[in-house]
Amino acid sequence: MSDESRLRFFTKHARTIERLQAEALRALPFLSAPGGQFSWDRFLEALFRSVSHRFSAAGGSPSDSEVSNYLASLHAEDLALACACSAGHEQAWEHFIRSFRPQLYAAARAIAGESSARELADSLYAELYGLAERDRQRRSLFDYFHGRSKLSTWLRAILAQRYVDLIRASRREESLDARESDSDESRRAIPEPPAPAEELDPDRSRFLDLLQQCIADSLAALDSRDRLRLAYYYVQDLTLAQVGRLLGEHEATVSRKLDRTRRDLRRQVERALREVQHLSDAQIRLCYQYAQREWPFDLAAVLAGEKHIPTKQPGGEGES
Amino acid sequence: MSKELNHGKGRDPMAGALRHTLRRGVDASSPGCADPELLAAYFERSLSAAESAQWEKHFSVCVRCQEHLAALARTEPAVERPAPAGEWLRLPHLDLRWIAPAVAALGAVALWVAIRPTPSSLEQSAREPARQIATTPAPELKEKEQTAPASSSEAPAKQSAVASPKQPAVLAEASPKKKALADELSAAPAELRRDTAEKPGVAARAQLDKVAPAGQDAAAKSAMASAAADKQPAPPPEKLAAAAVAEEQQKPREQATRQEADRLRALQAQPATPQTVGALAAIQPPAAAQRAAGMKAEGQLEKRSAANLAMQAAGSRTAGSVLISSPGGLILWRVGPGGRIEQSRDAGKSWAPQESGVRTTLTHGQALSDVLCWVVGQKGTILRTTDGKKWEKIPFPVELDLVRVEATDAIHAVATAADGQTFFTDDGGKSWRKR
Repeated sequence: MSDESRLRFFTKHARTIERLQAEALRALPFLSAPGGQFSWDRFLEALFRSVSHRFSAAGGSPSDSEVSNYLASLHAEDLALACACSAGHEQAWEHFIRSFRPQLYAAARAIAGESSARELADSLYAELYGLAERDRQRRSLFDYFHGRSKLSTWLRAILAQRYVDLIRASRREESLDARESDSDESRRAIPEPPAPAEELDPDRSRFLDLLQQCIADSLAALDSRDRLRLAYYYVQDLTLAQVGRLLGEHEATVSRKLDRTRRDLRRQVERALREVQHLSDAQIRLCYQYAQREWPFDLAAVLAGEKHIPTKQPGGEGES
Repeated sequence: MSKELNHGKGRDPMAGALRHTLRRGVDASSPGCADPELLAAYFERSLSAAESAQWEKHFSVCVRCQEHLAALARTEPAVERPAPAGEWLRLPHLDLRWIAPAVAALGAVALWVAIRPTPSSLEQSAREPARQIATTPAPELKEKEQTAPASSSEAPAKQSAVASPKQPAVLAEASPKKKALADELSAAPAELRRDTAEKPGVAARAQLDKVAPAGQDAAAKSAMASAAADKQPAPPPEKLAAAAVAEEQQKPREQATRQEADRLRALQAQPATPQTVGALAAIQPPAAAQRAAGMKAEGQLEKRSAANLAMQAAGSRTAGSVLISSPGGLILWRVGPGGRIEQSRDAGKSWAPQESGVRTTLTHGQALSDVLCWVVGQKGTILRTTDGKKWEKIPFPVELDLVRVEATDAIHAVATAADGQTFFTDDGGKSWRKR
């Protein structure tokens, strides 16, 4: 944005900006202490950057009301804290460590387990403080926080992303398929060898391919949310409550919709196998039988061996 | 765990194939994956609906983003959330779907009470049902009516007794002494009844004062008898609840009790419907109303909702206040004029005020749990509590009088204005969009 647009931004939204400033000051009074390293200009710059980041990606020029509504939705207190921490404000750092460290460790434990949690969380602190330098200026990870979400959620998102990317990098694979093909027997049941009769069936491969194709076609026709719900549940092994948390649904709703989607999928797959591929009912049954042997899915085994599901989860999902 | 297995992960022959296909069918990582800020905003449901939909399209085909989001979900401690409104109606082992129409009918009753006609038309229309009540007395009195000789000489005297059977019926119900007096008066000539009426200390004097003198036509007698019975025109059954409240506050206790007993009998004689149950609940104390509603409407009404109806009617006795019940029925809120909010933690037995921070009239609310409640009011007032104690004002873009709020959780809500406009939020009230 040009200087003119910056000036226009600060003039047009002065009242909202003042309110955000007051909100931040109410929550973090030490920011205005005399002799402190924090400058409110930094906060104003952060607001401007946040708006630019939000609306430049979308393209086009936002209206004043859109900008105003966006500003009003920001987490001013967290943004001010992030700015102060990025500037190296001592009291801000103390406040941050006191308020956020327990949450960070708990989050790291939840995804990485007890042994790796500390390492994961501590690696984040270094980047938050800003050990890296660019153009002779310390760069802090806090500079990438724009106040659109709570600081705690943003930190957890960073932890989650880092952990997942670490796992993916360590396996040197880009896809879960590759990970599945590793001999990680604690993660899934070993496919059963086909029964002798099945082995002799020349149509076995064809049936498996047909079934997979029909399922893929049906999945492609699904609504994004339905597909995502299935993926969270069947691929990411999340609980109903966790799926609901991600989709903004109660677990009872998730359960009901999963049920409906599964039933619809099965109906569509069987219709396609029958009407398009001209398979008989007996042949369709064989498709399922071969699929169960080829891609067995034992939930209990997965839950027992799954690394990223801790043995004891807060709230108790009954998993062990 | 058994709940999870019911989704066929362990049993459905298609589960394994589905899982396998879901994995194969997605891109390993698509260009333009979400950054942590966007993931966090999506997780908090603070993206706009359009943005959410756009990103969900990406997430549904990007395994990397799915893994990031799954890990993020795992970092959050499990918290039990109440089922959204209506979700519990879908439970297969409980067929409670008809509760919604019953409550809707009660809502229609409440609306009718709110927009009831003017007093003059009310009097006119009320006399008709009151006359019906007056002329449908207890069985023993009906028999007396039927056996009363219709000879011309006795007609004037008898007509008075027939035209105003309610008074003797009322007296008969009151006490044996009064019953004897009523019998005597029924049989006495008109002149004697007048003389008796003038005697001091007669318990029924107030009623007899209103008895039409002999010679007036039956209709006038009946009308005057009705007026005598009630001092006010008795409203139709649907309005008995409101009338009971007004009369209770004005009349002496004995008279109020007697008349309440009459209305109670009249309501109990009618078929059990949500309207009559609601009106019944307004007359009796909540516990009694629950029993009465449960007995009278056995097999038709779920007892808990009958208790809620009773509590709602009881709550409406406080002028202008609106009762909000949590799903369990134990925690209640009462909101009303001047930003008043009160909470009961014992199903309405006692109330404690809560600070709302506003002075506008609060008009409606919905409690999704014992601690989560949304309330709306005039001039765009929206309040929400997430701990059952502290109320936070939710900013609303226009100063409209809001009359209804429906929410599924702390994030998603729909507010309806008095002029019918509806606004929804999917980010906890940070922004509102018109439907």
